Amino acid sequence: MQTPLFTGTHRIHLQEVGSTNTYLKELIASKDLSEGSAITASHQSEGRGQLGAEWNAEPDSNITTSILYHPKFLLAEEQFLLSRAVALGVREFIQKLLPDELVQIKWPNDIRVLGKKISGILIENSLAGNFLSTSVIGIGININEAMRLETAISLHDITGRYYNLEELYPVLFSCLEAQYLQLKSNKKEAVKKDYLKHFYGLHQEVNFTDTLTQESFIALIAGVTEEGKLILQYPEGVVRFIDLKEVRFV
Amino acid sequence: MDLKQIQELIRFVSKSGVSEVKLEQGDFKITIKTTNEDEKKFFPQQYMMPQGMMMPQQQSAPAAAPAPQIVIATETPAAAPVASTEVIIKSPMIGTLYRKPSPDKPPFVQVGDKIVKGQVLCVIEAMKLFNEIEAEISGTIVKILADDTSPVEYDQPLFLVEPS
Repeated sequence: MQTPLFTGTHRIHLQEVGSTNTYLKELIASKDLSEGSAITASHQSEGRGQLGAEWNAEPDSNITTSILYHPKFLLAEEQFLLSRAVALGVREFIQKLLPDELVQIKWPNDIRVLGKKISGILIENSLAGNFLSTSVIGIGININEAMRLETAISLHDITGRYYNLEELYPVLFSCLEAQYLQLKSNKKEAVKKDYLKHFYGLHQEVNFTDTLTQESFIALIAGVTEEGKLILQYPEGVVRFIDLKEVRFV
Repeated sequence: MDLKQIQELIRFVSKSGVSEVKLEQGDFKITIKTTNEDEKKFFPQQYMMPQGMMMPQQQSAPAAAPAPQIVIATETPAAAPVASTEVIIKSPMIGTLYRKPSPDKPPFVQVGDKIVKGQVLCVIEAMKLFNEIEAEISGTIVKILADDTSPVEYDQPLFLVEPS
């Protein structure tokens, strides 16, 4: 098993916490933490983007972590690269555990298996001038919980197995670190290319709902802009750059 | 829309083989027309349309022009006059401005507040990335130039600060 160099080597595990991201941000404000420091929690009660997880899920059902990085080499306007790299790292981790399934990134950075969401990512940065200074990377992955929401799925739902989270965390951390180091060593084009390689619906016609009019439509996913907008090509030839709240996948 | 986005759009349009793209975002309208026949192979459904109906612009466009033509019509509000000592804190990115840490909490800063270097002034969100914008100088907030939950552009003035 690969061992991460610095991601998660300093780790604080909490039995219960409101949000690992908030906890880590408060900790950064009060003391200096080394890059790669991670918070993990057996149970997160109010994490944003809960993936439809149950309030009364057993402790240690799912991966809940926040990691501190210092991507000072990225401009504020390049920050979507971080989103791409983290999505790639999480995707790679899930793919290792599900070698027979197609594990894809759903715009902008959800991870999707069998048409359902298995992981969500929430990144909070602080900016100093035009550069990123700290980045708190929150990751939730459905592992052992039997998901009740129709749009969510867990590893257990797919394989029927139960997983020991303590064995999984180092694997996740090394997958993330590998992608982060790609960015840090300026292999930005490789990260962009890999992100698109695993992108759900690329060069395909996909059904969407316009969130404003509630009308459904079909458009071709032509790519993603540098800042992360979805590039859609409509049947009549018009191309639009789509922001997050403008459309929903059907 | 800033210059970088326009460049990106032009790059995309010229690669895609689309003959004409019209984009509207609020006051901003942009039309990009291409003239290169050979590059029209990316989207096969274009060929199924009667040519005269789909690409009327193309016939009238100058055939020799290698680069897409751009027509830009945009309105930018005039910048507010600034006293010489005051400093404008600008948005480092495109996104949605949040002046509060969460909807039920008070704003990070108000007019008249003393701020110190490194203090969080607001959060700008783009594509699920949340960015705390820190003050680069210490001073007093003189004016707040962008509303809570409003979209902000790159380099858009956010705060007017009297340095201390």
